[in-house]
Amino acid sequence: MNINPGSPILLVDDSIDDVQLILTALKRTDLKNKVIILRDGDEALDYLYHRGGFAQREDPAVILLDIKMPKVNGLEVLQQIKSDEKLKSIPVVMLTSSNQDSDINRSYGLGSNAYVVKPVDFARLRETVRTLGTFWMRVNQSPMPSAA
Amino acid sequence: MCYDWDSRVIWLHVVSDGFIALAYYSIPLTLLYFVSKRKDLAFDWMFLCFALFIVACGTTHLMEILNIWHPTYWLSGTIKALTALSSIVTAILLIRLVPQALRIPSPSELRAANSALEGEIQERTKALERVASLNGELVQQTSNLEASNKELETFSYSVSHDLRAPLRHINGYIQLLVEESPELGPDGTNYANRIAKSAGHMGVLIDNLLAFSHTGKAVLSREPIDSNAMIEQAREELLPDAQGRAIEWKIESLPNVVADRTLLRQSWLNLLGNAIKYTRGRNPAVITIGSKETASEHEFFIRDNGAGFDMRHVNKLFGVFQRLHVPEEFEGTGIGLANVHRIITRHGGRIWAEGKPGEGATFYFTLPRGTST
Repeated sequence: MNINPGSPILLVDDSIDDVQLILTALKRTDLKNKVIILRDGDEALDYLYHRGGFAQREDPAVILLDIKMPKVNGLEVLQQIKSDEKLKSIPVVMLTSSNQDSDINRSYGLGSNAYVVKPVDFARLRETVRTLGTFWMRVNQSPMPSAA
Repeated sequence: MCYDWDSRVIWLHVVSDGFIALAYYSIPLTLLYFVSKRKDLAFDWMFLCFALFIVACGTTHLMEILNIWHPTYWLSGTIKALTALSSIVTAILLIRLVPQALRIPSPSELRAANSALEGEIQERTKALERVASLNGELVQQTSNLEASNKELETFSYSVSHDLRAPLRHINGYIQLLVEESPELGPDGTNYANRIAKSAGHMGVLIDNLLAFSHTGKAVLSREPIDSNAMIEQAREELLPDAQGRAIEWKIESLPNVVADRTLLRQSWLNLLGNAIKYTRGRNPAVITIGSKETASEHEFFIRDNGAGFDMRHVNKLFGVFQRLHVPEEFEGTGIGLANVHRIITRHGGRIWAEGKPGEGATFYFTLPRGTST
């Protein structure tokens, strides 16, 4: 695993509107990281396992993972990541519309590193995305290549 | 001279007495056989008396025959006396037995009782069948209920997830539109902000409705609660709503209760929030919280000197989406008090309110003392 502060942010979300709004919010921070957008769980796993068109992929610094998605949902992706020795040290933040106890408990049970509900209000969404970006890219210390 | 020693008369007597004796001896044997076979017979000792008496009668007839050729008058007289004695005893016993014997149901009475019993058994069997069928219906209903509960969960999940997303998008794009399109002008900006506000309000409605449905399903986890401390925390949480306002709080010393902390906190937050909201414009606003003890309940009240309400509408106060004020006057979703009602009811308490337009409102609720410390 090679995570460094310049690594990309992986945004896995099936809603083009959520992607657009989160991207806009990220753009307004001073983070310079590349954001890689994947539209469902299948694509996320292809990326992480260098499959399909993702042979040259970079390890992400953090994965922002939606839960409700077509084909493979976020919880399944999370389970796969956290049960794989090579992937499990990547921080995964569940970023979802669901504030259901069952989803929250399930996510932490599977090893999610954070659980964030997307706020309805855009000002708050922007603030949330900014906080997430700052925390995971600046405040938090990710595992270094030698430790992985 | 016995029977004039006319041999025909003598034989008439001998043969007749002989047959009578034979019959008399055979009857007790038959009776004894009958009694021995019917173990359940009532008064079987009476049959023995009959047998004894009849044997005695038979013996007197045999003595008659014997006396023709060998006059043994003392012996036959004694036997006759014994017969008389046993007859008298049997007769007396029989007379005394009649009332008891009458009490024994006759075969026709027994038949009637039997058929009544059969009827009862049939009715009971039918009732049992009915119970079984009702039980089956209950099992069916329970499984239907479980199914619809599951459906409801799926529904609330969809509401929580799928309805919130478009609202977030509307809100986000409106915000971007306002920020990035200066050509909108003041009117356009105003309209856009109104759209965003409506979307935001709908988001709050969805959240509250979900919280309301959650209150109905949540399993109560009861614990001892310091009521005054809980109210203090709720007041702190509501500080932003009370900012810049002159509010006079009069909070009595309240009893501790045992309740679900999260749910009871929600109730207090709602009732205090309402008191703060509806006293807007009062200077000073006065909010009083107190309690009283009854034999079985703690009764709390929260009184304000705010907008109040007309008692004609009191039944609408606790209904979902029911509001007594227009949003321009007092904002709200119409779910708060419905939620408080549900929380208090689920704790086994009661809630009611009194008010007068322009003079304030008082909300009362009770919690059973059985759950108090």
